[in-house]
Amino acid sequence: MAIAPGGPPRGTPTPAGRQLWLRLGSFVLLLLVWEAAALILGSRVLPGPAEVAAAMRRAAESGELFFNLGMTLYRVAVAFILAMALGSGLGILMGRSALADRLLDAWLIIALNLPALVVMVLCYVWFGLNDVAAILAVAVNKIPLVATIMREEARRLDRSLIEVGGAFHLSRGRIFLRIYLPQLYPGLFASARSGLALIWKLVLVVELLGRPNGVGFEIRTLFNYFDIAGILAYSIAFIAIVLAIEWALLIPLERRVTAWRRR
Amino acid sequence: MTSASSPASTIAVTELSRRFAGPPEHLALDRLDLTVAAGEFLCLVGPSGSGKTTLLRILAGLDRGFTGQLALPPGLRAAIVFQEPRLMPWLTVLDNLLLVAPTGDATAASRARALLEEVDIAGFADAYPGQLSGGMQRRVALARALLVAPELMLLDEPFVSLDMPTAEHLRQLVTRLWRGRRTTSIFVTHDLREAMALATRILFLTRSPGRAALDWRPDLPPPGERGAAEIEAAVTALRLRYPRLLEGEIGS
Repeated sequence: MAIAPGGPPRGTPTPAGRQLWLRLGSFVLLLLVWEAAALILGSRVLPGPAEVAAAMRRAAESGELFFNLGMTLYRVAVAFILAMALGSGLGILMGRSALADRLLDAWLIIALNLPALVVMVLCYVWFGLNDVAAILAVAVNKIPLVATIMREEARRLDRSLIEVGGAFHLSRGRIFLRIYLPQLYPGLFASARSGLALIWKLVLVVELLGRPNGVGFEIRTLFNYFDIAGILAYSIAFIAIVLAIEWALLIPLERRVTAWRRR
Repeated sequence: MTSASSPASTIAVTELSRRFAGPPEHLALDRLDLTVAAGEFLCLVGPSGSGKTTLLRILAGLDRGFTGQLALPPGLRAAIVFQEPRLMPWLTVLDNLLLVAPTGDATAASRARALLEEVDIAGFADAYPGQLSGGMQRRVALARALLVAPELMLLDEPFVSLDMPTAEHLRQLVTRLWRGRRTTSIFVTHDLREAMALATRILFLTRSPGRAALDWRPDLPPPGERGAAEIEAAVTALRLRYPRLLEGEIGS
């Protein structure tokens, strides 16, 4: 299981304040390195932080930035939910049923090795240049990865605890929610965090290939003008959103449902 | 399920057999007949492989692969305490109890707290099982079983891996709980001394396949009023009479 960042390493009583300063320092260092590299390479090749910030402000003021970020975020969200739901369902089924595992294992290996680009191109050819094809292509790329993680997780389920549910005549729904699911949380969170990171990158590629809006589309347009400051502005804005989702949503949620491990 | 002759509150098994396909294939129970009257505290004693746990699992409804007849009073509420505490590590002690409460039972929380009080771990309601000792986890498992207000209490060697003083405390607790409720109880053990301390009746099973070897009612004061010396003497007397009883043989 991934260790949530921010927590002090076990055994060293590091104050939270020092952690924050270290993080801030590392961020400032990154900006300095960036600025230095920009000075050496020249702003046409690598614009400095100030120039990128100005490009971001221009895009924000015109409204383009938020519209495109919103479109990309919408595609990421739908593809993410789709991939998590279908991937988890498939993985749990394969982990619990030997028959399903034998039937689907070869498919899973093929799906895992299918190049993302091939899936995207085929989806656009088969379903047309629309959002359904774009989102489907991204989800199909992620589903086998989620299924693989969840299959392992489902195989490790503690049967003796599930039997407690049967012995006390709990409903199927209650057994699933209160006994099955908590055992699957580590896998679900591992899939969700790696999934978010992969999916938003894939969404940019499908947008670049065949959508008329979104961060990926905008990056292609900016590429045509060699507008590197614009490209960096869009990338950084989206990275900030993904980090915000991770820190504000995924990490606190994971900490909450795994609180019992730290007692 | 048929029950023609037995009164409504007794538990009766007739010609109960259970074969496991294996490998290796084996017969765990062989045409066992047993009637347990309401309020009895029955200890099942026998060597490993005598089908004690199998019988308990059948009575708990966890094993339906048996042949023969099982007559339980209609709507009987049974609760089981497993060999391991089997608490959900992600739920607090209180939530582990509430997990088995019927949904929408408004009194469940207060009953759960009262039970935790009764098994002497009221101060640990908000602790997680991982923070408790083995003995305390057993107390939680007992309280969880009692929360459903069982009419039949099934206990499968619940104190087997505990140190002796802890196990002794828990035996006294089980007796105290039984004396307060008179819940029909079936307690599996391979420890004759434990059975002699707890039981109103002891059923000895034979080595695999399990059959009834001896049905014994200890000639002792009621459970909870038995002194250590009395228990010891009863164990010795039974051992002298049936030297190979614990190996599942009553032959002289």
